[in-house]
Amino acid sequence: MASGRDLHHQAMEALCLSDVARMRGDAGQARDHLAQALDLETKAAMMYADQLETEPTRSILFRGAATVAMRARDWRAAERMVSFALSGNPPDAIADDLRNILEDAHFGRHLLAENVAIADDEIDITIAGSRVGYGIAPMEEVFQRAEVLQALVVRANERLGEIPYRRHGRPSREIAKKSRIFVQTARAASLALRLRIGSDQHVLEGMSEASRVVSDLLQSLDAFEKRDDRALESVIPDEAYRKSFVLLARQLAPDGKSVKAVHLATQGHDARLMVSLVKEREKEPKAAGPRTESAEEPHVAYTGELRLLDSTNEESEYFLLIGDDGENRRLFAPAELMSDVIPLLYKHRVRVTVRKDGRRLVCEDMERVTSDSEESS
Amino acid sequence: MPRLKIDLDHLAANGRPGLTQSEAGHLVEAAAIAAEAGGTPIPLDMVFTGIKSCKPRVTGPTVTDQMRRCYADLDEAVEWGACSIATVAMEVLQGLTVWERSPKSGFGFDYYLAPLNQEDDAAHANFFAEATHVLEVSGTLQDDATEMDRRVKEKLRRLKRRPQILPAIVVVVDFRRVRAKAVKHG
Repeated sequence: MASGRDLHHQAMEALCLSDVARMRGDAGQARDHLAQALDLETKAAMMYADQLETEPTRSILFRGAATVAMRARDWRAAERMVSFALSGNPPDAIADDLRNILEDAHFGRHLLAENVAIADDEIDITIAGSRVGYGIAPMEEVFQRAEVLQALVVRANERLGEIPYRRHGRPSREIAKKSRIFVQTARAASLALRLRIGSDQHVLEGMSEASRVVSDLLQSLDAFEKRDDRALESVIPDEAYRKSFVLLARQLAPDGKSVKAVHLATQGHDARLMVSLVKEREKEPKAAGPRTESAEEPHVAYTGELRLLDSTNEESEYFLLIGDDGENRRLFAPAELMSDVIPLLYKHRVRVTVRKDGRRLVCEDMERVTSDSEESS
Repeated sequence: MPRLKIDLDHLAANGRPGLTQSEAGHLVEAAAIAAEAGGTPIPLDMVFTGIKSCKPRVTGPTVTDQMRRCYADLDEAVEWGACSIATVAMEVLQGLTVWERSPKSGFGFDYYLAPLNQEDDAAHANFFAEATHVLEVSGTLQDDATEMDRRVKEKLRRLKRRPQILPAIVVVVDFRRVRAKAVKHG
């Protein structure tokens, strides 16, 4: 009889062959090898089901089986494997991984098992994390992300409409109209909302303009999550639009504290598209204008309340931060930050990253500070 | 002092405790593809920095058309190729070998390392407990001189934010500039 280790080695070899077949473009063989890998890794893990003290081998094998099940989109199998692992005594680090896999499996199963059909102009957004219960979440965590999605849709509509990047002011009436977002009944998941873009009526045939925007948005978010600059550049070639997108997408991403994952799904042209944002917002900005790495110009972070200097002047390039340290700072913002992010965060508490450029202070990055994130930091 | 050597043919021919011959063969072929795509085909001299500064000779197979067809997804081939270079580099630089693998979320594997001279007791049920380090690998072909350091920093940042079961070694291989960096965490 093969040992657990032998079965595990056979499973890893089958997984490797599945990856090679996929790279070669042979989807059928990739699927067959993946199913074989799942079967073998599950058998290896199940040999340890009752050996609760054989750690970390027991939990690593169950985590492996759950991971292969996720790749095979067998959500139920993933749930079972995670449950076996968590019923034992996994090390903390592995237990964290297992809980993350479980969240993803719940999301996938939720879409399948409840026969949830998403129209091609709709986005399902689900958030999960320590402050998010089953069907309940802090309002600010949910609606802030809905607002960010609204801003992303406006920009996607402008870009796909070949309108040059708008550096200030409001979008045209036509763009605003087709960028409207409708919230449908929330369903209990971790916390799920369904958003529909552009119209309260479905377009029955063909790919609507809204569905093109949704599909474009999920492709861009997928590239953002993978930190794949080349893929993002191919979806958003215009640099100003790309910078704006990255700044907004970072507001959508999990903070790693109260929100650990943001899942988005839609029905693409011929298949369901899903993106899971699990990478935390990077502390170091990538896209908000040029950076200088010299030691003379370090980046400093301030926290405080965001105010506009002059709300009647739409071309203003400065804003005001009423600092927690009692100091009010007049900060310069690049156009993408000023026109896309600052309007969303006006009067909110924010954390800004600032660089000194000659006499002016340039804000390079900004994120909202919620009461939850302050408590847990 | 003899020159350090990263012999990928030896890896492909022998596998390792946690890598079958067939798996090792695929990783090695991917390294040859990645090196060719980076503009410096194997054999090559790769500059290592970090835990040890050296310039080992990397030897391995010659790329064939069949290999080019097989590893058509260059991004993935670069990641795999980096794994084969990191695997042998760990033996040469740290005396550690790939003891086991476990699949990662998405794609790729976590590599668990153990000392080279560790006795391989096939009957030992708790075989992952014999690993002493985890290896985190990444490869790049990007035309950006700062990319390797950025990836090392990013991997270290993530490692610091989460509890780890074992000390980790991060290796990033830049096939375009023919260099690699290895750093320890924990």
